[in-house]
Formats: sequence, C-alpha cells, structure tokens
Amino acid sequence: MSLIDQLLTSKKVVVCVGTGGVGKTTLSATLGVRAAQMGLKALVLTIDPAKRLATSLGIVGWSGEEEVVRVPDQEFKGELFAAIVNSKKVFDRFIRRTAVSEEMAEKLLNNALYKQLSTKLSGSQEFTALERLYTFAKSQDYDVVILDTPPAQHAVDFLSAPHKLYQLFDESVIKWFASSSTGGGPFTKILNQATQKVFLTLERLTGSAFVGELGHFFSALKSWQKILQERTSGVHKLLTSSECSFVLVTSFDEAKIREGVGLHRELKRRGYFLGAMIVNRAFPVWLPSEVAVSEKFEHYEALLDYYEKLKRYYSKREEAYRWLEAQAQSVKVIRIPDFDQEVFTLGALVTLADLLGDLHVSN
Amino acid sequence: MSKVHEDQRITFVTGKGGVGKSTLAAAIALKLSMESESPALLVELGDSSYFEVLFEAGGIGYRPRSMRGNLDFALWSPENCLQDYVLHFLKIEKVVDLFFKNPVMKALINVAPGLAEVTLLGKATSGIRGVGSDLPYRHIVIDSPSTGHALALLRAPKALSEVFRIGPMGRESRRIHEVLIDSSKCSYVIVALPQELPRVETLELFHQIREEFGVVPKVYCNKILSPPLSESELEGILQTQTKGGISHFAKYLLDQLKREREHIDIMKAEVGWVGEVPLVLDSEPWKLIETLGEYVEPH
Repeated sequence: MSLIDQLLTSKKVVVCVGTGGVGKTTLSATLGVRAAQMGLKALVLTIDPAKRLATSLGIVGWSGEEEVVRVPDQEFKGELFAAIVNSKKVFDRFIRRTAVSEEMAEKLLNNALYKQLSTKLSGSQEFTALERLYTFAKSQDYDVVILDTPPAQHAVDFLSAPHKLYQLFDESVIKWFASSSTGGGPFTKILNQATQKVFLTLERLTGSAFVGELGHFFSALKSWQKILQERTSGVHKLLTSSECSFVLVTSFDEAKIREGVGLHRELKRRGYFLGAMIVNRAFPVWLPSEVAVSEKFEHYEALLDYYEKLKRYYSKREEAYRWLEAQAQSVKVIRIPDFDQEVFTLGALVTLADLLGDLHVSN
Repeated sequence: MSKVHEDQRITFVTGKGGVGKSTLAAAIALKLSMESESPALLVELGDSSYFEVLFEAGGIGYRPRSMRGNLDFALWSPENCLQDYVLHFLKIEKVVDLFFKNPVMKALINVAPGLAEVTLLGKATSGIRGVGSDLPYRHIVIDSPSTGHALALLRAPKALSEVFRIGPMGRESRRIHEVLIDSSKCSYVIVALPQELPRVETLELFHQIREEFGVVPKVYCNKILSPPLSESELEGILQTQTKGGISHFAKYLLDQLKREREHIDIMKAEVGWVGEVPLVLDSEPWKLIETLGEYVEPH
C-alpha cells in the first residue's frame, strides 16, 4: 500500500496545509478521489476553488448556502462528496446557533464593525474552516474528511489563527471594552492607572466613535466566549488525535521549501502529526532525459542549448529537494511531476490519484 | 507635520500566489531606483522577510536597509507601523512604551477588525500625507499579499471610514483611501502566469481594482517560456524529426508556446496592454532580478 493510501485508510481527518499557489486545492481534491477509489466515503472541504475545478466537483453555481454535493459522473468503488466553506455564512450561523438569545445574536450581527469586517476578522476564515471540519468529522457520516486550508501568505498563519481568534475573546480585552462601553465612564474605577492612560491615548488617536464601536463589538461578543473556548479545545483535541494527519503541500521554489521545513517544525512543536510532504510540480514529465540525434539539423544547436539550460534549471531544484528530504527526517517526501496540462477535470484528478496510489515510498 | 513628499509614488504589486510577485516587485523597484535621482524603497508586509531568504541577507526590518545603489528594503509589520504613528502623534516615548507594553493593547492590534490594514496603508501613504516619521523616497514599491488578501488590505480604509464618519479614525482612513484612488500617486501591478487559474484570477482582480479604486492596473504575464526558436522554426524541425527525445522536446515547446500565447491573447483582449516577462533560468537572485528588470516598464 502506498503512503497516501495508508494515510487515507487510517485517518478520519486529513488537513492540507501550504502557501498559496502550490496547488493545495487540486491536491486536496486528488486525495479525495484517491480515497473514493479505495472504497471510502470521502468528503473534500474546500475554501475557494477555481471555477473549472469546482465545476468538475459539481460545486459550482452553488448559491451560497453551504451544501454537500455528491461529485457527478464518478465511478469509484467508494463515494466522493465535496463542499465549499463560505466563511461569512458559517460565522453568522455559528453566532445565531450559539447565541444565548435572539437579541444577543442580532446585536452582534448588526454591529457596524462586525458587518463591515466579519469576513476579514483575523482568523475568521480559518476558524470557520475548522468549525466545519469539526462538525463533519464528529458526524461520522464520512470515512475520511479532507480539508483544504484557506489561502495564506505564510502556511503557518493557519496554525496561529485559532490562537488569534482566541485572543479576541481574551478576557482582558473584553472586560476592558465591555466596561468602557456601558457609558458614564465607570471603566475608570476598575482599570488601573496605566491602563486608563493607555485607553485615553487610544481614544485620542482614533476618536471616541471608534473606541465606542469597539466596545459594543467586544461586549456583544462576550457571551460567545465560553462556547468558542469549548470549540477551540475540541478542534485542538481532534487535530492532535491519532485520527488526524496533516499533509504539507509545497512547490519547487527554494524559499517555499524552506518555509515548508519551518512549518514542519511548527507542526511538531504543536503536537500535530505530519503524515507526508508533497512537492508539487517537482520535475517536468515533458523534459526528455535523452536528446541525442544521429544527424544534426537546422537550429539544432539553439534547441539543444535551450534544452541544456532547462535541464540545469531543474537539476538545481533537485538539490533543493535533497535538502528538503534531509530536513524532513522521518516524514516522507512525495514528488509529483509537472504535467504538460493543468489539472481541472475529474479525469485528470483520477490520473493524479492513480499516481499517488502508485507511489511507494521506500523507507 | 512631517515633510510632505508631493511627488512620491506608491506601487502595489499583487497577483495569485506563486506567480512570482516578490521577484517582480524587486525588479520594478530596482529599475525605478536606477531611473530616479532619489532612492526607491521596496517594502514587504508582515513578520518575516522572503528577501532575507532569497538574497541570504540578514537585517531586513522596519528600518530601511540599503541593498544596492539607490535601493533600500524594509519589512513593515502592523505593530511597527502603529508604534511609529503613535510616537509621531504623542511625541513622548515613555507614553508610547506604556501603550505598547500594555497586554490589552497588544491583543487589540491583532484582533481589532481593519486596524492592521489601515495601519500598514497609513504608513505606506505617510510620505504623501506628511504624517509620521519621514519617508524620503521617490518611489515606494509594496510587495503586497496575494489577490484576496490584497483586496482586503486595500478595501479596509474605505470600510472603516464608512463606519466612522467622524473622529480621527474616520478622517485618517478617508485620507488614506483618497491616496489609493489617486492615479497620480498610486499604481497597481498584477502579476499573472500564462495559465488558466492565474489568468482568471488576474482578470477578476483587474476589474475589481479598476472599479473600486478608479485606477487601471498594469498586468504582467510572468514566466513565459522563451526558447530561442520561433513557432515556425519548431514546426520546421518537427517535419524532419519525428522520433526520439529531441522531437518530443520540440513538440512540447511548440504546444506550450501556443497554449501560453492563447492565455496572453485573452488577457490582452480584455485589459489592453500586458507586459510579457520570460521564464528566466538564472538562479543567482540579483542576476534574475536585473534580467526581469529589462522587461518591466514601471511608468
């Protein structure tokens, strides 16, 4: 059994992480296809798929209400499902479902800051992705759930997001603002002198309207603190459990590979299990290994020269790969070639999935 | 008030992840620094520097570091920028220290919606607006986040100014947005690849920036395969060479050239001018950036 097959059959949750532009969404879908090929009932949760890929998965034209779709035209031993996580919808729904009262929910949903910026709230996209992952994993409806993580500048952002969001509910911030927004300045009583000074400085810098609105925002959030805390620890438990594996996707750019190694350490530090590193577009299938000719022809030199240049370019990457392999230690590194066509159709995903199923990594 | 740099220009470089934004931003900055009399500043946003890795050069931080000739590099985090602004505003270092050492304030910078974005753009536009510490550059090139994050960044000042119509926060946000929509002060560069996904994302972003900021972005198509042979020369080779590695190679090049040309033509038809940047096979970073510089036309 290949490494990927082992992962898919032994885990209930697979989280694909990596920086933007490395093909994370495509590989997440491919893992889903592979799982279905092996007879599993698999769900791929994706954030922002390209239109053609979304069409192949049957999740295009999706009206905004989150829906799990059975991927059309499939002929797998198992079954493949897909869904897009709509951050704003999920967050709003989470607020409504967990509110102590209708009134509290409305108060927050109508807060000017929340309305303008809830989708951009630090960590909200990451939170909603994990929230959906948690719900689907707990539902036991699928053998395996594969999560494609939100696009990020740095892959590590995904890991720090829950903490950032948790900071939002940090008791001191809420206390600070909740007390300040009740009017009449009672906050002066409970705050020490230094914090008072800081508060007045912030007010001077940003204006009382800003501070006031922030106060409303945080006090409206206050009642969600407990439920969010519970959910955050539930997600953490799931991600660190033996049921979950991370898969790191990287591309063959030296800086990206370095970042991948950094992420590997970070995952380890946080107690997450990294099942595999996938290097996407690692080597070109289209670059022949042998170009000897019996007879020279017109433009032969120019063509050969360009061939040599490309070959050197890719062999440089080979060095970076060896370095990655040395750094990865016990984690297996899988290389996927650069195909001469972009992968959009279910057929292309199946080809890629076949390849993943064939890749036996020697220890 | 600090010195106002009336003729300063800001260039935001964005695009889909993995298209080569950072290296192209460096190429644009290098070219601008060589053209203009006064120096150019290349800025990365966030907490870690890609250029430190690329150039194997330490010390890229908030204070500009001279990298080459007239070109300086800097790395701006929201916290640094806010600190700079607050110091300028309060003038008393002790109070600023108190402000930033306060744990509540630290958490707030991270989580208050829009604050990080407005702070970064506040710094970027500070030279033009004459606030904060002096930013004595003719050109500021900002290696911006990828598409969605870049839009969130650029939209934040307007969003905040709509929430807070009165008070300093609203006023500053409005002024920042006014700079962003002024085509004599700001340019937007979108980097694409001759492939479907980056092309689609580029065109969407192009329309969004044009509509929301009233400035026509410049589009560059990066990493175009550039063999020293034309399509017809490759076709000629394929007529005599039908077997073996070399004919496969020639066939691939020909197919790829055609595919890439299609993507470039679609982009051109929709946005007008598209800068064509070849796939540069040099791996030495400065050499790579100099070569890329030959293909960019900043203004």
